[in-house]
Amino acid sequence: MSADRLLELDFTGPDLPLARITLAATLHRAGLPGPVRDALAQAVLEAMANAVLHGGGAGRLSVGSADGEVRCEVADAGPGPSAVVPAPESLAPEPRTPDAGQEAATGRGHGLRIAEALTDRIEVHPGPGDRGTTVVLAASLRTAVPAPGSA
Amino acid sequence: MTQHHGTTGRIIPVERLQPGDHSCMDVTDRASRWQVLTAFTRTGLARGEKVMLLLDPSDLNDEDAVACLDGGTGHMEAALKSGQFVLDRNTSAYLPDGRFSKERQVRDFAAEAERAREAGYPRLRGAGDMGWAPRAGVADDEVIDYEASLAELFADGYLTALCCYDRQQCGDPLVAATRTVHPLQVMECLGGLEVTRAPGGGRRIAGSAELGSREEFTRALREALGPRPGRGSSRYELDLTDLVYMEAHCAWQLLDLVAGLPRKDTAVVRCGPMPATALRGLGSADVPQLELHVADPQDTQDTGDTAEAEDVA
Repeated sequence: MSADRLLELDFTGPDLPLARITLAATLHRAGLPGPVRDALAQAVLEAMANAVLHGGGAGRLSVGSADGEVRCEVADAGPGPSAVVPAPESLAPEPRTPDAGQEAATGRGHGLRIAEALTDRIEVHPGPGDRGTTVVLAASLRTAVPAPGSA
Repeated sequence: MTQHHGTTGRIIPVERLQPGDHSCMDVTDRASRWQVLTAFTRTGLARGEKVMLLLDPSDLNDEDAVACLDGGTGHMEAALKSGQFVLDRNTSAYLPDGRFSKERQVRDFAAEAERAREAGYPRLRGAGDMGWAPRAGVADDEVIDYEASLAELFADGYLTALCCYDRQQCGDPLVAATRTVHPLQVMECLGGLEVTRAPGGGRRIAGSAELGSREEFTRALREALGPRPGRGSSRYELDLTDLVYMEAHCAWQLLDLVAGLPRKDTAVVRCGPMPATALRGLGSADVPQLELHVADPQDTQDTGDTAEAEDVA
Protein backbone atom coordinates (compact mmCIF):
# COMPACT_ATOMS: atom_id res chain seq x y z
CA MET A 1 0.00 0.00 0.00
CA SER A 2 2.85 2.38 0.63
CA ALA A 3 6.49 3.12 0.09
CA ASP A 4 7.15 3.09 3.80
CA ARG A 5 5.21 0.62 5.88
CA LEU A 6 5.03 1.78 9.49
CA LEU A 7 2.63 -0.60 11.22
CA GLU A 8 0.57 -3.73 10.59
CA LEU A 9 -1.70 -4.70 13.45
CA ASP A 10 -4.55 -7.19 13.79
CA PHE A 11 -7.09 -6.26 16.43
CA THR A 12 -10.27 -7.29 18.20
CA GLY A 13 -12.20 -5.33 20.81
CA PRO A 14 -9.95 -6.06 23.80
CA ASP A 15 -6.90 -5.02 21.77
CA LEU A 16 -8.16 -1.48 21.19
CA PRO A 17 -6.57 0.25 24.23
CA LEU A 18 -3.05 -0.94 23.42
CA ALA A 19 -3.69 -0.45 19.69
CA ARG A 20 -4.55 3.16 20.49
CA ILE A 21 -1.18 3.67 22.14
CA THR A 22 0.70 1.83 19.40
CA LEU A 23 -1.05 3.94 16.79
CA ALA A 24 -0.14 7.14 18.65
CA ALA A 25 3.49 6.02 18.88
CA THR A 26 3.55 5.18 15.18
CA LEU A 27 2.10 8.54 14.17
CA HIS A 28 4.64 10.22 16.44
CA ARG A 29 7.48 8.37 14.70
CA ALA A 30 6.02 9.39 11.34
CA GLY A 31 6.63 13.00 12.31
CA LEU A 32 3.08 14.27 12.46
CA PRO A 33 2.79 17.25 14.79
CA GLY A 34 0.65 16.89 17.90
CA PRO A 35 -2.68 18.31 16.77
CA VAL A 36 -2.59 16.52 13.39
CA ARG A 37 -1.54 13.31 15.13
CA ASP A 38 -4.37 13.52 17.65
CA ALA A 39 -6.93 14.24 14.97
CA LEU A 40 -5.83 11.37 12.73
CA ALA A 41 -5.62 9.01 15.71
CA GLN A 42 -9.14 9.89 16.80
CA ALA A 43 -10.44 9.29 13.28
CA VAL A 44 -8.63 5.97 12.90
CA LEU A 45 -9.78 4.77 16.31
CA GLU A 46 -13.37 5.51 15.37
CA ALA A 47 -12.95 3.37 12.26
CA MET A 48 -11.37 0.59 14.35
CA ALA A 49 -14.25 0.62 16.83
CA ASN A 50 -16.67 0.50 13.89
CA ALA A 51 -14.83 -2.53 12.51
CA VAL A 52 -15.20 -4.32 15.85
CA LEU A 53 -18.86 -3.38 16.29
CA HIS A 54 -20.16 -3.71 12.75
CA GLY A 55 -17.43 -5.36 10.71
CA GLY A 56 -17.25 -8.83 12.16
CA GLY A 57 -15.59 -8.15 15.51
CA ALA A 58 -12.04 -7.85 14.25
CA GLY A 59 -9.91 -5.87 11.85
CA ARG A 60 -6.47 -5.05 10.58
CA LEU A 61 -4.80 -1.67 10.86
CA SER A 62 -2.08 -0.73 8.37
CA VAL A 63 -0.17 2.53 8.58
CA GLY A 64 2.24 3.76 5.95
CA SER A 65 3.63 6.93 4.52
CA ALA A 66 3.89 7.85 0.87
CA ASP A 67 3.59 10.88 -1.35
CA GLY A 68 3.82 13.29 1.54
CA GLU A 69 1.03 11.83 3.62
CA VAL A 70 0.48 9.32 6.38
CA ARG A 71 -2.12 6.83 5.30
CA CYS A 72 -4.00 4.51 7.66
CA GLU A 73 -6.15 1.64 6.47
CA VAL A 74 -8.68 -0.13 8.67
CA ALA A 75 -9.90 -3.33 7.05
CA ASP A 76 -12.47 -5.80 8.33
CA ALA A 77 -14.10 -8.94 7.03
CA GLY A 78 -17.66 -7.99 7.95
CA PRO A 79 -20.74 -7.71 5.75
CA GLY A 80 -19.47 -4.67 3.84
CA PRO A 81 -19.58 -0.88 3.78
CA SER A 82 -23.33 -0.60 4.22
CA ALA A 83 -22.99 -2.17 7.67
CA VAL A 84 -20.14 0.09 8.74
CA VAL A 85 -20.92 3.39 7.06
CA PRO A 86 -24.27 5.02 7.66
CA ALA A 87 -26.28 6.53 4.83
CA PRO A 88 -24.90 9.94 3.78
CA GLU A 89 -27.86 11.86 5.19
CA SER A 90 -27.15 10.56 8.68
CA LEU A 91 -23.67 12.07 8.57
CA ALA A 92 -25.22 15.54 8.48
CA PRO A 93 -25.57 17.44 11.74
CA GLU A 94 -28.83 16.48 13.35
CA PRO A 95 -31.04 18.23 15.85
CA ARG A 96 -30.59 16.99 19.38
CA THR A 97 -33.87 15.28 20.30
CA PRO A 98 -35.03 13.11 23.14
CA ASP A 99 -34.43 10.14 20.85
CA ALA A 100 -30.87 11.16 20.09
CA GLY A 101 -29.54 8.97 22.86
CA GLN A 102 -31.12 5.98 21.20
CA GLU A 103 -29.30 6.73 18.00
CA ALA A 104 -26.05 7.18 19.83
CA ALA A 105 -26.56 3.80 21.39
CA THR A 106 -26.24 2.20 17.97
CA GLY A 107 -22.69 3.53 17.74
CA ARG A 108 -23.04 4.40 14.07
CA GLY A 109 -22.67 7.76 12.42
CA HIS A 110 -20.94 9.93 15.00
CA GLY A 111 -17.56 8.26 14.68
CA LEU A 112 -17.52 8.55 10.92
CA ARG A 113 -18.73 12.13 11.13
CA ILE A 114 -15.78 13.00 13.33
CA ALA A 115 -13.41 10.99 11.16
CA GLU A 116 -14.54 12.93 8.09
CA ALA A 117 -14.03 16.23 9.84
CA LEU A 118 -10.61 15.39 11.21
CA THR A 119 -8.75 13.92 8.27
CA ASP A 120 -7.47 15.31 5.01
CA ARG A 121 -8.95 12.38 3.14
CA ILE A 122 -11.27 9.50 3.96
CA GLU A 123 -12.27 6.73 1.56
CA VAL A 124 -14.49 3.72 2.14
CA HIS A 125 -14.08 0.70 -0.12
CA PRO A 126 -15.65 -2.73 -0.20
CA GLY A 127 -13.23 -5.58 0.33
CA PRO A 128 -12.43 -8.31 -2.20
CA GLY A 129 -15.58 -10.00 -3.46
CA ASP A 130 -17.65 -7.25 -1.88
CA ARG A 131 -16.94 -8.82 1.48
CA GLY A 132 -15.62 -6.62 4.24
CA THR A 133 -14.82 -2.92 4.35
CA THR A 134 -11.61 -0.94 4.07
CA VAL A 135 -11.57 2.60 5.44
CA VAL A 136 -8.62 4.74 4.37
CA LEU A 137 -7.78 7.85 6.39
CA ALA A 138 -4.91 10.15 5.52
CA ALA A 139 -3.17 13.25 6.84
CA SER A 140 -0.58 15.37 5.10
CA LEU A 141 3.02 15.34 6.29
CA ARG A 142 3.68 18.70 4.74
CA THR A 143 3.30 20.52 8.02
CA ALA A 144 4.99 17.76 9.97
CA VAL A 145 8.21 18.06 11.91
CA PRO A 146 10.37 14.97 12.48
CA ALA A 147 10.14 13.44 15.93
CA PRO A 148 13.50 14.16 17.57
CA GLY A 149 15.68 11.21 18.33
CA SER A 150 13.16 8.49 17.59
CA ALA A 151 14.66 5.08 16.85
CA MET B 1 -14.53 1.18 37.18
CA THR B 2 -11.91 1.22 39.87
CA GLN B 3 -12.09 2.97 43.18
CA HIS B 4 -8.97 3.53 45.22
CA HIS B 5 -8.79 4.45 48.84
CA GLY B 6 -5.94 5.88 50.83
CA THR B 7 -4.29 7.43 47.80
CA THR B 8 -2.84 10.87 48.27
CA GLY B 9 -1.45 11.26 44.76
CA ARG B 10 -3.36 11.83 41.54
CA ILE B 11 -4.48 8.64 39.80
CA ILE B 12 -3.74 8.79 36.09
CA PRO B 13 -3.58 6.52 33.06
CA VAL B 14 -0.05 5.61 31.98
CA GLU B 15 -0.44 7.73 28.84
CA ARG B 16 -0.54 10.81 31.08
CA LEU B 17 2.94 10.29 32.56
CA GLN B 18 5.18 13.23 31.88
CA PRO B 19 8.89 13.93 32.31
CA GLY B 20 9.64 14.45 35.97
CA ASP B 21 6.84 12.16 37.17
CA HIS B 22 7.52 9.66 39.93
CA SER B 23 4.64 7.20 40.02
CA CYS B 24 3.61 3.89 41.49
CA MET B 25 1.22 1.20 40.34
CA ASP B 26 -0.64 -1.48 42.28
CA VAL B 27 -0.26 -4.77 40.49
CA THR B 28 -2.88 -7.42 40.94
CA ASP B 29 -2.93 -8.90 37.46
CA ARG B 30 0.23 -9.70 35.56
CA ALA B 31 -1.37 -9.46 32.08
CA SER B 32 -2.73 -5.99 32.81
CA ARG B 33 0.64 -4.93 34.18
CA TRP B 34 2.34 -6.06 30.94
CA GLN B 35 -0.11 -4.00 28.89
CA VAL B 36 0.81 -0.93 30.92
CA LEU B 37 4.53 -1.67 30.63
CA THR B 38 4.14 -2.13 26.88
CA ALA B 39 2.36 1.20 26.58
CA PHE B 40 5.02 2.84 28.77
CA THR B 41 7.81 1.41 26.61
CA ARG B 42 6.34 2.04 23.16
CA THR B 43 5.45 5.61 24.06
CA GLY B 44 8.92 6.34 25.41
CA LEU B 45 10.74 4.80 22.46
CA ALA B 46 8.58 6.68 19.96
CA ARG B 47 9.45 9.93 21.74
CA GLY B 48 13.14 9.14 21.44
CA GLU B 49 13.56 8.62 25.19
CA LYS B 50 15.82 6.02 26.74
CA VAL B 51 13.69 3.31 28.33
CA MET B 52 14.81 0.99 31.12
CA LEU B 53 12.77 -1.89 32.53
CA LEU B 54 13.81 -3.70 35.69
CA LEU B 55 11.87 -6.96 35.83
CA ASP B 56 11.63 -9.47 38.63
CA PRO B 57 13.59 -12.69 38.01
CA SER B 58 10.28 -14.56 38.30
CA ASP B 59 8.85 -12.59 35.39
CA LEU B 60 9.08 -13.37 31.65
CA ASN B 61 12.55 -14.24 30.40
CA ASP B 62 14.32 -11.60 28.32
CA GLU B 63 13.34 -13.05 24.96
CA ASP B 64 9.64 -13.35 25.84
CA ALA B 65 9.62 -9.93 27.46
CA VAL B 66 11.06 -8.28 24.35
CA ALA B 67 8.62 -10.17 22.11
CA CYS B 68 5.72 -9.04 24.30
CA LEU B 69 6.87 -5.42 24.23
CA ASP B 70 7.45 -5.51 20.49
CA GLY B 71 4.10 -7.05 19.57
CA GLY B 72 5.03 -7.11 15.91
CA THR B 73 5.87 -3.43 15.69
CA GLY B 74 9.49 -4.26 14.86
CA HIS B 75 11.10 -1.53 16.96
CA MET B 76 12.45 -3.43 19.95
CA GLU B 77 15.42 -5.11 18.30
CA ALA B 78 16.85 -1.85 17.02
CA ALA B 79 16.19 -0.16 20.35
CA LEU B 80 18.01 -2.95 22.20
CA LYS B 81 20.97 -2.83 19.84
CA SER B 82 21.30 0.93 20.02
CA GLY B 83 20.99 0.98 23.80
CA GLN B 84 17.82 3.05 23.69
CA PHE B 85 16.07 0.19 25.46
CA VAL B 86 17.62 -1.60 28.43
CA LEU B 87 16.14 -4.71 30.03
CA ASP B 88 17.54 -5.83 33.38
CA ARG B 89 16.46 -7.62 36.53
CA ASN B 90 15.52 -5.79 39.70
CA THR B 91 17.85 -7.96 41.77
CA SER B 92 20.97 -6.91 39.88
CA ALA B 93 19.90 -3.26 39.95
CA TYR B 94 18.82 -2.98 43.59
CA LEU B 95 20.84 -5.76 45.25
CA PRO B 96 24.11 -5.89 43.32
CA ASP B 97 25.95 -7.39 46.27
CA GLY B 98 22.91 -9.02 47.81
CA ARG B 99 22.20 -6.03 50.06
CA PHE B 100 20.14 -2.88 49.62
CA SER B 101 21.60 0.56 50.18
CA LYS B 102 19.38 3.61 49.73
CA GLU B 103 22.32 5.96 49.19
CA ARG B 104 23.96 3.72 46.61
CA GLN B 105 20.67 3.26 44.76
CA VAL B 106 20.01 6.99 44.52
CA ARG B 107 23.58 7.50 43.26
CA ASP B 108 23.18 4.69 40.70
CA PHE B 109 19.97 6.11 39.26
CA ALA B 110 21.47 9.60 39.15
CA ALA B 111 24.46 8.18 37.26
CA GLU B 112 22.13 6.31 34.88
CA ALA B 113 20.29 9.55 34.14
CA GLU B 114 23.60 11.33 33.54
CA ARG B 115 24.75 8.62 31.12
CA ALA B 116 21.46 8.86 29.21
CA ARG B 117 21.82 12.62 29.04
CA GLU B 118 25.38 12.37 27.77
CA ALA B 119 24.27 9.84 25.16
CA GLY B 120 21.87 12.47 23.83
CA TYR B 121 18.53 11.08 24.93
CA PRO B 122 16.00 13.83 25.63
CA ARG B 123 14.59 11.91 28.62
CA LEU B 124 15.01 8.73 30.60
CA ARG B 125 12.02 6.67 31.67
CA GLY B 126 12.26 3.60 33.85
CA ALA B 127 9.89 1.06 35.31
CA GLY B 128 10.87 -1.29 38.10
CA ASP B 129 9.25 -4.26 39.78
CA MET B 130 9.66 -3.67 43.52
CA GLY B 131 9.04 -7.30 44.47
CA TRP B 132 12.73 -7.64 45.38
CA ALA B 133 12.28 -5.62 48.57
CA PRO B 134 10.19 -7.93 50.77
CA ARG B 135 12.08 -10.93 49.44
CA ALA B 136 15.36 -9.37 50.53
CA GLY B 137 13.93 -8.60 53.94
CA VAL B 138 13.90 -4.84 53.46
CA ALA B 139 11.39 -3.37 55.90
CA ASP B 140 8.37 -1.51 54.56
CA ASP B 141 9.40 1.79 56.17
CA GLU B 142 12.86 1.46 54.63
CA VAL B 143 11.27 1.07 51.18
CA ILE B 144 9.07 4.10 51.77
CA ASP B 145 12.04 6.11 53.03
CA TYR B 146 13.96 5.16 49.87
CA GLU B 147 11.06 6.18 47.60
CA ALA B 148 10.79 9.53 49.37
CA SER B 149 14.51 10.11 49.00
CA LEU B 150 14.25 9.90 45.21
CA ALA B 151 12.29 13.14 44.95
CA GLU B 152 15.26 15.31 44.01
CA LEU B 153 16.11 13.04 41.07
CA PHE B 154 12.89 14.15 39.41
CA ALA B 155 13.28 17.85 40.06
CA ASP B 156 14.81 18.72 36.69
CA GLY B 157 12.15 16.88 34.67
CA TYR B 158 14.56 14.51 32.96
CA LEU B 159 13.48 11.29 34.61
CA THR B 160 10.11 9.52 34.57
CA ALA B 161 9.61 6.46 36.78
CA LEU B 162 6.96 3.85 37.33
CA CYS B 163 7.43 1.71 40.45
CA CYS B 164 5.36 -1.48 40.29
CA TYR B 165 4.21 -2.98 43.59
CA ASP B 166 2.71 -6.44 43.26
CA ARG B 167 0.10 -6.80 45.94
CA GLN B 168 0.81 -10.49 46.47
CA GLN B 169 4.55 -10.06 46.73
CA CYS B 170 4.61 -6.80 48.66
CA GLY B 171 1.51 -7.12 50.83
CA ASP B 172 -1.29 -4.64 51.45
CA PRO B 173 0.50 -2.46 54.04
CA LEU B 174 3.44 -1.69 51.75
CA VAL B 175 1.18 -1.15 48.73
CA ALA B 176 -0.94 1.25 50.77
CA ALA B 177 2.09 3.07 52.14
CA THR B 178 3.70 3.48 48.75
CA ARG B 179 0.66 5.36 47.49
CA THR B 180 1.25 8.02 50.09
CA VAL B 181 4.83 8.71 49.02
CA HIS B 182 4.44 8.77 45.22
CA PRO B 183 2.97 11.96 43.78
CA LEU B 184 1.15 9.93 41.13
CA GLN B 185 -0.49 6.54 40.94
CA VAL B 186 -0.82 4.91 37.52
CA MET B 187 -3.97 2.94 36.77
CA GLU B 188 -3.33 -0.76 36.45
CA CYS B 189 -5.52 -1.30 33.38
CA LEU B 190 -5.26 0.26 29.96
CA GLY B 191 -8.55 1.51 28.62
CA GLY B 192 -10.19 1.66 32.04
CA LEU B 193 -11.77 4.47 34.01
CA GLU B 194 -11.10 5.98 37.39
CA VAL B 195 -14.04 7.90 38.78
CA THR B 196 -13.75 9.98 41.90
CA ARG B 197 -16.14 12.33 43.58
CA ALA B 198 -14.82 15.85 43.96
CA PRO B 199 -15.71 18.19 46.80
CA GLY B 200 -18.95 19.95 45.97
CA GLY B 201 -20.43 16.99 44.13
CA GLY B 202 -18.42 17.14 40.92
CA ARG B 203 -16.75 14.17 39.33
CA ARG B 204 -13.26 13.53 38.08
CA ILE B 205 -13.10 10.85 35.39
CA ALA B 206 -9.63 9.71 34.36
CA GLY B 207 -8.55 7.04 31.90
CA SER B 208 -10.04 6.40 28.52
CA ALA B 209 -13.67 6.47 27.36
CA GLU B 210 -13.69 3.94 24.57
CA LEU B 211 -15.47 0.82 23.39
CA GLY B 212 -14.55 -1.28 26.41
CA SER B 213 -15.45 1.38 28.97
CA ARG B 214 -18.32 3.19 27.31
CA GLU B 215 -21.01 1.71 29.56
CA GLU B 216 -19.07 2.65 32.69
CA PHE B 217 -18.46 6.10 31.30
CA THR B 218 -22.12 6.64 30.54
CA ARG B 219 -23.08 5.40 33.99
CA ALA B 220 -20.60 7.78 35.60
CA LEU B 221 -21.96 10.66 33.53
CA ARG B 222 -25.53 9.87 34.52
CA GLU B 223 -24.54 9.90 38.17
CA ALA B 224 -22.60 13.13 37.78
CA LEU B 225 -25.30 14.94 35.82
CA GLY B 226 -28.31 13.58 37.65
CA PRO B 227 -31.13 15.85 38.83
CA ARG B 228 -30.42 17.87 41.94
CA PRO B 229 -33.06 18.88 44.45
CA GLY B 230 -33.94 22.54 44.83
CA ARG B 231 -35.37 25.28 42.66
CA GLY B 232 -32.27 27.24 41.82
CA SER B 233 -29.93 26.66 38.96
CA SER B 234 -27.36 23.93 39.33
CA ARG B 235 -23.74 23.93 38.36
CA TYR B 236 -22.21 20.56 37.50
CA GLU B 237 -18.46 20.08 37.40
CA LEU B 238 -16.79 17.37 35.33
CA ASP B 239 -13.02 17.13 35.45
CA LEU B 240 -11.92 15.12 32.40
CA THR B 241 -8.40 16.52 32.22
CA ASP B 242 -6.89 13.07 32.77
CA LEU B 243 -9.22 11.43 30.28
CA VAL B 244 -6.76 10.74 27.47
CA TYR B 245 -9.28 9.64 24.87
CA MET B 246 -13.01 9.95 24.34
CA GLU B 247 -14.58 8.12 21.43
CA ALA B 248 -17.37 9.78 19.50
CA HIS B 249 -20.04 7.60 21.09
CA CYS B 250 -19.03 8.73 24.58
CA ALA B 251 -18.71 12.35 23.48
CA TRP B 252 -22.20 12.18 22.07
CA GLN B 253 -23.54 10.70 25.31
CA LEU B 254 -21.96 13.55 27.25
CA LEU B 255 -23.42 16.22 24.97
CA ASP B 256 -26.79 14.51 25.02
CA LEU B 257 -26.93 14.41 28.81
CA VAL B 258 -25.81 18.03 29.15
CA ALA B 259 -28.31 19.14 26.52
CA GLY B 260 -31.02 17.44 28.56
CA LEU B 261 -30.32 19.56 31.64
CA PRO B 262 -32.66 22.46 32.42
CA ARG B 263 -31.58 25.55 30.49
CA LYS B 264 -30.74 27.42 33.69
CA ASP B 265 -28.19 24.78 34.66
CA THR B 266 -24.53 24.76 33.67
CA ALA B 267 -22.20 21.82 33.16
CA VAL B 268 -18.57 22.84 33.39
CA VAL B 269 -16.42 20.31 31.56
CA ARG B 270 -12.63 20.52 31.74
CA CYS B 271 -10.72 18.29 29.37
CA GLY B 272 -7.63 17.96 27.22
CA PRO B 273 -7.40 18.70 23.51
CA MET B 274 -8.27 15.23 22.24
CA PRO B 275 -11.63 14.85 24.02
CA ALA B 276 -12.35 18.48 23.14
CA THR B 277 -11.87 17.62 19.49
CA ALA B 278 -14.55 14.95 19.74
CA LEU B 279 -16.95 17.23 21.61
CA ARG B 280 -16.49 20.08 19.16
CA GLY B 281 -16.83 17.78 16.18
CA LEU B 282 -20.21 16.67 17.47
CA GLY B 283 -21.55 20.15 18.07
CA SER B 284 -20.62 21.21 21.60
CA ALA B 285 -21.09 24.84 20.55
CA ASP B 286 -24.81 24.14 20.12
CA VAL B 287 -25.30 23.06 23.73
CA PRO B 288 -25.91 26.23 25.75
CA GLN B 289 -25.69 24.47 29.11
CA LEU B 290 -22.10 23.42 28.41
CA GLU B 291 -19.03 25.36 29.47
CA LEU B 292 -16.05 23.67 27.85
CA HIS B 293 -12.60 24.48 29.19
CA VAL B 294 -9.67 22.97 27.37
CA ALA B 295 -6.29 22.60 29.00
CA ASP B 296 -3.42 20.46 27.88
CA PRO B 297 -1.99 18.66 30.91
CA GLN B 298 1.14 17.97 28.87
CA ASP B 299 1.76 21.67 28.65
CA THR B 300 0.28 22.37 32.08
CA GLN B 301 -1.41 25.39 30.61
CA ASP B 302 -4.37 26.17 28.44
CA THR B 303 -3.74 25.49 24.78
CA GLY B 304 -3.19 28.43 22.50
CA ASP B 305 -6.44 28.48 20.59
CA THR B 306 -8.54 27.69 23.55
CA ALA B 307 -8.72 30.69 25.76
CA GLU B 308 -11.47 29.96 28.21
CA ALA B 309 -13.68 32.81 27.02
CA GLU B 310 -13.45 31.45 23.50
CA ASP B 311 -14.14 27.98 24.67
CA VAL B 312 -17.26 28.54 26.61
CA ALA B 313 -20.11 27.10 24.60
